[in-house]
Order: sequence, then structure tokens, then C-alpha cells
Amino acid sequence: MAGIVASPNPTPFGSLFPGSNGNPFASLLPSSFPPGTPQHIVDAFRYSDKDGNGFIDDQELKAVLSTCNHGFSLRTIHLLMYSFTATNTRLMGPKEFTQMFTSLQQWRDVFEKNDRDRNGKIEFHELQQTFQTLGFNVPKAVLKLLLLKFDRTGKTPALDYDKFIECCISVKGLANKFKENESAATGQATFSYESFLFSVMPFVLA
Amino acid sequence: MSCKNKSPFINSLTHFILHHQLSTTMSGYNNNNNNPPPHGYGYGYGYTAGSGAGAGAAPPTYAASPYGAPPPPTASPYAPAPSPYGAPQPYSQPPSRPGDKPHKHESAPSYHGGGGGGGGGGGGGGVGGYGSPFAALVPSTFPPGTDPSVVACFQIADQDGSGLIDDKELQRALSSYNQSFSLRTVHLLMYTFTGSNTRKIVKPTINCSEWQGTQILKLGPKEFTQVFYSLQNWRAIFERFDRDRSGRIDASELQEALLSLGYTVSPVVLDLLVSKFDKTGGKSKAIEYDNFIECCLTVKGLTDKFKEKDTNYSGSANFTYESFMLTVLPFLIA
Repeated sequence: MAGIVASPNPTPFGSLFPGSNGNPFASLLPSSFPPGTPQHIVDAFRYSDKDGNGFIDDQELKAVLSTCNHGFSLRTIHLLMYSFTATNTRLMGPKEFTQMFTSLQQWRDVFEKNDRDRNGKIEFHELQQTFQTLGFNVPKAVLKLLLLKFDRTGKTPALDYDKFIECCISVKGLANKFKENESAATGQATFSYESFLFSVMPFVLA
Repeated sequence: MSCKNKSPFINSLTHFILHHQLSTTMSGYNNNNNNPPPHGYGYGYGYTAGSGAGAGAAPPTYAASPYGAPPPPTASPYAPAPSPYGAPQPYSQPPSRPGDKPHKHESAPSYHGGGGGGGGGGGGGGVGGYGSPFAALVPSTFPPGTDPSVVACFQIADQDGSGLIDDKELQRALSSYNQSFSLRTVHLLMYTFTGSNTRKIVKPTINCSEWQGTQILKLGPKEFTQVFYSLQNWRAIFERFDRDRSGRIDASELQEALLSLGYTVSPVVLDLLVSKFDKTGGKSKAIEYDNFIECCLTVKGLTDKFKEKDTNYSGSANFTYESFMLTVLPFLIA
């Protein structure tokens, strides 16, 4: 399985970019590469930012993530961006990009490790394990629903990488929303109508 | 967007919908909420106390006013409560509960307004309101007095003659020469009108190593009827708000449209909706008909789910982690 963005398409222009290995003032600025950001991530960002405006939009991100064996749907891209920028603007700066990049690497590793039969897909029995490795507590009923919905076709439903990412982001994102509203006492979360819609819509409408 | 399938159904369904719309619009675009139900639908059910039972199977409620919002003739077409934004209740008025007198509907279409056609359920649990005390015992049949055209449409849509309509059949049936529906919209539509009933159709079982049986959404006659009338209702609403006939409605019109369906949506959420559904990528800030449907379905669906948990009509609901996930995920992955 070809890697995802772990090693982005090598660009001949790498040497043209000033070697900024992170900005010591990162914490003071809205979005910069944190100090110690690996060079290849910086390069990847610059490479992706085709219009050079300092931000990566959804089309740019989709283009760059889809260069390898796995295509990414626009929906997954939107989910990714919402997840790492906590806004609906669908623009990503260096800091968020770095976080996303690192997460994707992590997810990709997990995906590969859990796809034991190497068919590029994760089946039900692999999925539960996978989520556990990632630290998500996903009830069985939810797992069944996820698989059912993501793959209606096969006799043995399975998630390809794009769907897997979509799944991870959705589960992670919703779990976080739940936690934000969770009461330690009851273990339940209380939402007002407005906050419910607002929390949930970005995932539904990605 | 053009539909290549020239099946007679498409023409008859489109014709039916258009024809129906035409006859109502000819009587004037404004204040059409007050029209009595069209003939031949044999509605006459009025508001039955049975409506709202369980999952709010409200075909009878809907039936009483095909435009979805069941306000009395004196209410403005925008029906909802005095000040939907400032009101203590977040969604206008609470809907009538089983056993409530029908007059509770006066102040607002609110929940019930929702696109007509009953919330998630509408299921076998049924409602006595169809005129037959045994309706609740029968899985899914055409309510007495259903317009024969609807029955005919169902039969034509049911291409494999299984007595049930699956997503592909529905998509085919709904798409016409100038209007197509994405599979996602179709799924949302079916999910909204079959809700938890799908489990009755096919029971899914999974053991760890193999998937045995899948849960497939299908519409029976009753659900199909609800879908049909809801779509007509939404279509009427859309046309009412698309004043310049551009085929699109903008954010403020969308807000009004949702309001007339009984949903109070804040500007923030509205903005989300419009951004998502704007086919021009944010330039025109307006949405077209098929996305309007998806929009209505999403708002209706999520609101209905929320309401199920907000049993006190307090405007806030409690969820366990699992119920929260199970509530939201079907919408994500329709």
C-alpha cells in the first residue's frame, strides 16, 4: 500500500523554499509551523498551497492527498478540515496542517497494521480492534451501524482507507462534542436544541 | 441531471406532481396554507388523538393539511409561535401529544409542521387514524382513500414487483427530465420515513467473522405515501419562496421556508446549510430544489431525533454516549 502523505510527491522545487524548520515565535502567531516541524511537512504544505496564499483550501488538500493509491472524497476532506481547524471555513494554515499531517500518519499506520490480510480494507472484526488502538471507545451497535452504512454492497462490509478516515474523524469528532457537554456525574451529555444542531451539522453536512 | 429513463412512471409521477402544483398555484401563491386538502385524497382524518404515538407516526396530522403546517385558517402562513427567536421554547410550540386536543396545534406547526408525513416512525405501530381499527395490525398498506395515482405510482416504481421500494427504485422514480436526486438524498428520505422500522423488514445479524444479512431500507405503501405527500409539500414550499423563479432560494428565503415548516433555525446553522448546499461553492449563496429537500430532511430528521429525547419540551435533551452516536451517525452516512 503506498503511503499517504508520509512522503509527499517529491518536488523538484524543494530546494527553492527557504528552509524554515519551524518558527520560534509560533506560539505568538495565528498559524505557523511549530518549532521542530519536520521539513517534509513544511515542504508538503508549501507544495499543496498552489495559489500561494498561505492557506490550503479543500480543493488543494484533496488534490494533494489523492496523489497516492487512495483517493479522498471531498466529504472526507471537509471532515478533516473541520476536525483540525474547528471552523467551517475550509481553510488550513501551517499549524493545523501539521497536526493533521501527523494524525494522518498515525491513522495510516494503524490502518496498515490492522489490515492483516492486506486487501486495502478493514472489515468488521478488524475495525473494533482498530478503534481500540486509536483510543476510541465505540459501542458494538455503533460499529455495526458504521459498517452497514459505509459499505452496503459487499457481503462482508469493509472500509477502504478513505472511508476509514471518514469514520475515524466522525467518531472522534462526535465523541469530542459529547465530552464537551458531558456531565461527570451522570455520564450523560445535555444539549440545547441549538447546540445540538450546531455540534452535529458540520459532520452531517461535510 | 437529465434522466435518460423514459419510463411511463416518470412521466406520470412528474405529471402528477406538476399538475397538482399547478392547480394550487393557480389559485394564488400567497396564503395557500389555508386550502382544504385536495379532493380525492379522502383525508377527512382530522387530528386524531392517536397521532404522535411513539415515533410520531403522523400521517393523519399531515393529511389534514397537505402543506404540512397544520395551522388553522386564521394563522399566518408562517404560523409558528409569537417570537420563535426570543421564545423560551426553542422550537416554537410543543406538538400535541397523544390525547391532546387538536387545538394545541393552533399556535404553531412547530414540530408537527415538519414536512408533513410524520416523524421517523409511521411504522407498523401505526395509528388508528386511517379509519380502520385494524390498520395498526397491518404492516404497510395504502390508507383508505389514498389517491389512486399514488397507488399507481407506487406500482410503477416497484419495478421488481416485490411490494417494497428500495433506494434505487425510488431514485429512478423521483428523477425526471429536469430533476435528479442524489442517492444520499434518497437515503435520507427513506430513513426519515421508515426510521426504526427498517429493522422489521430484515433483521441484521452479525457474527464476528461474517456478515449475515444486511439492513436494507425499503418503503412499503404507507411509507411511500408519506414520502410522496411530503415531497409535494416541500415542493410547494420551495416554489412559494422561489419568488423570482430562479430555481434557487437564498439564505433568508430558506430561513422563512424552514420556519413555515415549523423549524426555527439560527443564522449560524442556516449559514452552514447554505454553504454546504450551494452548488456554486459559496458564490450565489442559494440552494436548488434537490438540495432544499436534503436540507429539509436533515433539519427535520435531527430535530425529530432531538425531540424524542427532549420529553419535557424544555429545549434541552440528555444523551448517553451510545445514544448520541446512534442518533447522529445515520445522518452522516446516509
